[in-house]
Amino acid sequence: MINMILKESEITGVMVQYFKVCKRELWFYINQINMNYDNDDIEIGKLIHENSYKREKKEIRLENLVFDFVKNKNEIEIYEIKKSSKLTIGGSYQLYFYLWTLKKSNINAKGYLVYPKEKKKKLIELNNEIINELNEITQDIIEIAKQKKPPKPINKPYCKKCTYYELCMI
Amino acid sequence: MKQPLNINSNGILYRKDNTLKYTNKEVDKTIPIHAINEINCYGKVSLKSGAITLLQNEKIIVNSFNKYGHYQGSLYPKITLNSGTTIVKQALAYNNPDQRNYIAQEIVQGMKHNMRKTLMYYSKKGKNVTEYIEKIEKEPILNKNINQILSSEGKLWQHYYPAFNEITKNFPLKKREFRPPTNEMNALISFGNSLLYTTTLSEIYHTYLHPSISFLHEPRERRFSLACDIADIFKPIIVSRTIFKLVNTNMINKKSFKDDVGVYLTDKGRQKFIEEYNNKLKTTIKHPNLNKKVSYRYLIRLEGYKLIKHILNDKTYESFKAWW
Repeated sequence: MINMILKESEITGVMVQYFKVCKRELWFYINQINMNYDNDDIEIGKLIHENSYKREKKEIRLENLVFDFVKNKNEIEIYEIKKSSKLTIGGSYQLYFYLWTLKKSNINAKGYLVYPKEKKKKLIELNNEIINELNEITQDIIEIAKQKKPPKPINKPYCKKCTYYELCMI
Repeated sequence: MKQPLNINSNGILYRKDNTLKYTNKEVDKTIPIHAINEINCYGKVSLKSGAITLLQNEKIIVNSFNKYGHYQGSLYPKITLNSGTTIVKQALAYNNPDQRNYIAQEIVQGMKHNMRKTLMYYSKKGKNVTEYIEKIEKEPILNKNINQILSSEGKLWQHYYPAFNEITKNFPLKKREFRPPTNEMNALISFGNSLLYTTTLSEIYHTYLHPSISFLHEPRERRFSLACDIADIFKPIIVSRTIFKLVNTNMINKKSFKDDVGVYLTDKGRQKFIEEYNNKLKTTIKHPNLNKKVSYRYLIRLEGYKLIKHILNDKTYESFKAWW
């Protein structure tokens, strides 16, 4: 039977985000089952992504990390564009993960979650508590990747808007 | 909601910038590409290379039918919903007799239930079909091996189709015959089944399942046999119901057919059939698990999701059984 081995270096920000929001979605994502198609919210999200901060260079890749854009003034600032500030926990951890990975290479950076539609901006900074948690999260993600079947659906109120809703509930 | 585009005339599909256009001697029209989910060609339609690229990028399947309404084939876009895990597990499920038999018999269970439901509907309307309902109910689905399941499936259709002669007197079925259909009712059933096959194929394309790995039918068959598996569950609810509506309300009558090498629908008859068939697919019903309204078309997609959940060992597959 298939045994998925996910290396620590293969963990991405999106995986950390899914880990905080829904472990089942994380498992699907690791197994390349991505339901983000045919969905208007996702399309809107993509358009916001494309049409905001047009002067910035977007999608900066650094090994397994992808930053929406980066500013480098006195210190490095990492930006993550989001459609809505409703469900922020996943986005915050995505940025924590980026900052933590950079920190391991002795790069100190600041993170910002930005919501162009709401004209809002949120500063994200690492602390020791979060660093300890990220250590655990990455180990847990590797464990979830090993699971032979998806974790059970959680059925939270925010599930209704999720693109996996039908796949989970049917 | 996206709709299928049906082309009944002869013409050319071409691309102008990022727009799909259809042209022939009479028309030159723009096709709103984001509003369609598939294209069905019943006339002679040529596709220019630009149009092919655009349709592939937009992930729109193009199905072609010959002048008799026989399905000829599909221009199937490259598979973008690609999950190695799913395809490997789908193949493993096929290869494991217990798994395969389970899924196959569950498909036949669904078919049986839906046959019964359809006949019950006409029984309530005063059609004398009790005898056929009983025969279907009594037919056991033997499931020791795939051949037993297939023979149970065959027997169920043998009990089911003769009931058509009770539901409508207009076009006696006598005997189910294929290629070429020898009478009107056979022509209607064959055409309806090929429409449902293409609809099912489009829906499978939007899941992660591979359309060639099937459970009830043999994957050896030339067609995308998973579409045959899933379509069987829905034939009584979608195809039969469409046919009876068309025939019993006289929307399709003797004039809607022509004799050639067999009996076939005329262009007009075919258009009426397609229109009514699409109305059926658009009809919505409240889904008890999802707690929202879904179309008949979407029910087919959900069948794909359920199969994915089964092969991933997430939830045991239960075939669609009309609950209303």
